[in-house]
Amino acid sequence: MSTPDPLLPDEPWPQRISRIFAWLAGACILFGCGALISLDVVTRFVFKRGMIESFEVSGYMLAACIGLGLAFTVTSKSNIRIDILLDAFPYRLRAACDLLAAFALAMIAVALVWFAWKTLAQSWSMNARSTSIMQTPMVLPQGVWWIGLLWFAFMAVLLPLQAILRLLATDQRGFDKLIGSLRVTEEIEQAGIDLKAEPKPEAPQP
Amino acid sequence: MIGTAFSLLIGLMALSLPVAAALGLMGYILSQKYAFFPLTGALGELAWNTSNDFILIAAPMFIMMGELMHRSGMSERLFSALAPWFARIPGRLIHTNITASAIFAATSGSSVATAATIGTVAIPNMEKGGYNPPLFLGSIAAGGTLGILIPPSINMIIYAVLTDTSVAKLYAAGFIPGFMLAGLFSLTVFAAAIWRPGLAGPKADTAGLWPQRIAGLKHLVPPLGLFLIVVGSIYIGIATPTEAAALGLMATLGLVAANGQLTLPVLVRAFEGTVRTTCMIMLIIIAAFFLNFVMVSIGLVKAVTDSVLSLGLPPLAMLLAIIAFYLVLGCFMETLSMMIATTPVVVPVITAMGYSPIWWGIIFVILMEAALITPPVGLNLYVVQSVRGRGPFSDLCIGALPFVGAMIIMIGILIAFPDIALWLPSMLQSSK
Repeated sequence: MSTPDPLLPDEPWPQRISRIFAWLAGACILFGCGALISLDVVTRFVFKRGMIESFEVSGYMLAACIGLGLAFTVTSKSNIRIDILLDAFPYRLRAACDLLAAFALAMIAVALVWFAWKTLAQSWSMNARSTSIMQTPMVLPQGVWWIGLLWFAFMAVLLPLQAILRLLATDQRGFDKLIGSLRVTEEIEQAGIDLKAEPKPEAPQP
Repeated sequence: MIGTAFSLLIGLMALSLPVAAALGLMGYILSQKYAFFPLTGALGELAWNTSNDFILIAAPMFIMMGELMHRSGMSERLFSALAPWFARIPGRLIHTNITASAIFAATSGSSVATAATIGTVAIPNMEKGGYNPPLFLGSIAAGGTLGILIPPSINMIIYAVLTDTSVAKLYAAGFIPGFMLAGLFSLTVFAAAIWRPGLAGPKADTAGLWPQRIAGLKHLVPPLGLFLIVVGSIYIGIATPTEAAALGLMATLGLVAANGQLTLPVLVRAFEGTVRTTCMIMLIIIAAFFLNFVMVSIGLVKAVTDSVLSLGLPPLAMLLAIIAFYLVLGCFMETLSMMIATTPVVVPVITAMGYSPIWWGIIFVILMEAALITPPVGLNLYVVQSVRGRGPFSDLCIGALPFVGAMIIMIGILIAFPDIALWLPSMLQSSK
């Protein structure tokens, strides 16, 4: 960990796309929610009236973040599982549990994108608009949200299928890397707390 | 019906299915089995409404604040400013850990961020100062949990959305218990230091403390300012809790920039961390809302409430049973998923017994705090251990125990004197 991680780690293209989607999702939170709402609060405080409909737009931004970011939870194995029993299992049983878990997630993802499609299609056919002064056509924010969900479902289905191929090729490590249960060390690393690696700012002397 | 639902949940979870998938599948199975008409059609609308909920927007912003906070240099300065104040009290730096955590908690909505940030600054001092590792590390892990009790709090936001209560009132309710619990932690350390002076390290040179104390005061300004922004602005009336979170996020970004740490890699990694946590939680929330919709539609929530009430137990006994249940469950389950999965069923029972949902929210958050530091699944223990980087993990498990005791005492105090939590929110109500 002595060399700083490259911005884009070397990874297959589906993982890479998911990561870039996650960056977009993060930007939605920082700029679309944080900055936008702050601007609205400040202008409201100074000029006694809000400038932007941040209340409405930031909601769409959160939805975009969720849609675009969900695939990244699959590739980074962030969906919480109660895997405390798993360690005690022999490898085959553990692998079976991992596969089952991955397919369960895929089912949920597919169901979500299917029913979200119905909501989107309904907004489309009824030409639904938001009730605010902005009169946003609902197809816009729901469309972004739905495209993200579609990618999420694609990844959630792709990974267990790839994992089965690796299992057939007796590639145990590759299997674990794809859908194996997230080990505690991995989890801490992900929490962005690998503090040994990063240069600490000098504590000021009192 | 209750039996089926309960065993279904246990079964799906024990198979180590992702929590969101387990909740979603359970909703689907219950709807197929008990509903008169298919309920799954509501999923799309439900998912959309949850995805753009204005109150929930506060959660990712606090998560991002947590991701950025340890780059701001705020905690290092806070720690060195507080240390001289406790130099003569038995337990010295351990009290600094707790106080710094409490102050940091008042600017941060996350326990992990609090423990990680304070841990990074404090742990190098542990060996230098000759402190007893379990007690020292335990105080950091436990102090970190204050992050979700002292407002702002990610957990309170999600609880508020799930139970349809007011975030502002929950924040107000958490305030006094939060600082009381910090006091109890300090008292625990003080008692330990008196009982076994060796635990708290040798006495250090205490000459020239006052100039240091005074000089350090200016470092309290950034956390105080941040607190005024993310909590104060709500009660002054210039911002809603979500707007306050947005202001806090921008202010934190400013602090990181002022510390010279605002670079593209830092920002991108913060984005990744935020999105991972946010989407994971939101998927569970969507699944939980769907399950809740199914459970209410088929009458399961009412059935659970009725059957609990028909036991005829006094409310207090029932309450204690629920608390015991959470203390055990908290050893094995990640806290946020535990909270989201159980709130829709447990809170109706609590309110049916005549308790205030705001008051229970505070007790609930303290139970979550206990869950964060009870092994084998206690995220804060792992966070502090990873910051430490070596030594036995058992140090943390042992060191956290006295603080779990302090939490249980705090819950007892809140049951005996509910006004400790409810007084501030009631002031809020009468002033408006």
